[in-house]
Amino acid sequence: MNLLIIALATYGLITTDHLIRKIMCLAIIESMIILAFLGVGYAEGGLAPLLSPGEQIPMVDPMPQALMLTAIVIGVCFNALALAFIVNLHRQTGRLNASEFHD
Amino acid sequence: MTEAALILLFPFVPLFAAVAALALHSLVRRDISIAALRGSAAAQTAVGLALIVRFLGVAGEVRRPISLWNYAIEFAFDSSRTPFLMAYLCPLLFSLSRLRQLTSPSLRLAMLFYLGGCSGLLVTGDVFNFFVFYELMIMAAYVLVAARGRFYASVKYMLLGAISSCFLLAGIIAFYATGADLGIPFAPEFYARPVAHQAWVYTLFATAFFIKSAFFPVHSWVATCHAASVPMISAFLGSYTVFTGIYGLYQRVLRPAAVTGFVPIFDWLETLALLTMLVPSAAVFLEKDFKRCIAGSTVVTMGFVGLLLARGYPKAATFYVALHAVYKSLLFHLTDDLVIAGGIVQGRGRTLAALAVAAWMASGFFPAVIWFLKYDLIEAHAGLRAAALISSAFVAGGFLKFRYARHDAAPRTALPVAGLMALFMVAASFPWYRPVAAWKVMLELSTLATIVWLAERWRRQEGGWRWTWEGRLFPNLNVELLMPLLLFVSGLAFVVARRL
Repeated sequence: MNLLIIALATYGLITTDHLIRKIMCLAIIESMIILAFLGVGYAEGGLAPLLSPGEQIPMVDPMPQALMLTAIVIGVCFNALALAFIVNLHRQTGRLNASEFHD
Repeated sequence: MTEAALILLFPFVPLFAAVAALALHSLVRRDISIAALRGSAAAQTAVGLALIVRFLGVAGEVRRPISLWNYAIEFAFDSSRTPFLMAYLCPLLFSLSRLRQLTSPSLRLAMLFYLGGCSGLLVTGDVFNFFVFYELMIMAAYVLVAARGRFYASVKYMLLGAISSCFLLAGIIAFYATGADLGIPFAPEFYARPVAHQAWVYTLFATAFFIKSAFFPVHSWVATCHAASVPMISAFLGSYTVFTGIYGLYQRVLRPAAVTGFVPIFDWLETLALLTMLVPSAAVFLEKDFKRCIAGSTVVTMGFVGLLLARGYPKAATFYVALHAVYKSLLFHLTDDLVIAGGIVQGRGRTLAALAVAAWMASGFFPAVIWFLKYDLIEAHAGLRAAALISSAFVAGGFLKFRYARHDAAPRTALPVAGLMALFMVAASFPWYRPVAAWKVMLELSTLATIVWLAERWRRQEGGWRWTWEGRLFPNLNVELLMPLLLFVSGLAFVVARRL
């Protein structure tokens, strides 16, 4: 399912001409990658990774969760910054279509 | 101070300076951003030089966890990172006298975060923190590129940068799924996995780093960002930021691939490197904007460095990185001392002299140090010699097609002299000089003479200035965003086909 959504979002990224939609497609791709990473650390029937001394219980891998929390923060910062620049670009040029921009 | 303490201190200096400046600005409305930037640069230069002195030529890696916790993040350093550290320190030192180009406190704070990201990359001990520091660096770079209100350049950089980060993150997942931890060097679990799994990891990482280091056909952001930025930022982008991609490629793809003898990745790199030498060099020859010309020559350099790495000359490649940082940051900073209009480049005599030396280095003709660096490579293969000559000729022609004139009202600064001194100091430490056959020197110089003649004719043809190759290759942003995907798909197909 993750791969299908990534493929759809990639298709959207390539075919849509609107810059804000492109950012949305990128955000979807990034979210799917994060979900996939969490899936790698998933354990069937595993509990939250809170250790107690001497206790042996199946738990999910805490590493992907810790890492992806950072990736989510980075993603939010990226989206905020990208949208701010696109708003400024629109104010400057009155355009939002990627096909209208070139060097 | 011990090596471990220096490694730990290095990335935190600019970050502490940024937090201190931000806190003072918020609490007592006092702007100390310039002092923080200067202090941070001076402290980092001292720490960086100490690291270079202690690690140059010394085998082995020093690792240092940031806390006493068993699972704490680790920083690391070894001698293979010293050329990249030099490439970072060079634009940092040159920019000390030009900090006023960053006109507001917020831009100077962004610069401090940018420096924190850059230096964190150099000492990171695992793949995920490489990603985190890279994002910190590039996020600040987006803001700095937009400093002069050229938002299009920043948006383009952001879109390509985000695509590259998605590939990097996907590579990290594929890597983690092997059961290995994320540390560097890679754990044995990774090498024990089937070749197909390794191929996915290498291809995802390589695609991410090709975009970050601006290999053809994902190089178009370089010229756009350089033309839009102030010279100080262009110098950092051109002499360090693009090389972080090469650094990642070397540390995360080529070194592990060499361990397992995974040859297809080297073949793919060689193909891309040759294209990166040839296509953007033709664009440099046709380019009418001086700063874009310098940016184009950076992309050509990536091709040379990629070729050296693909053919198994990592020491030459990393020395090239350090040397390139000197002349490229000099070239970009010098544009601030020049008056450029209508294809005429005007400046003071010593500025033009420094420009000529740096441009000669960029083109790589005999007897520039770079020519000796690629000597073994071009000796091994006649086709590579031809490719190197053609790309060097195009880059030289790109600079020669402009008309140069003295202009006594142009800015007078100490940078040309300081830059030339730095260039000669690095060149003097170069260990690969050797006697050369006369016919090889004649071949180089006659190619240069031909390109001088062609550039003169080109300059007279007014129509030539209006035609750009890159404009036809990449007509709009949609086409440019398609390129990373094409690169990944073609790379995967190439790697799989070669492996079968």
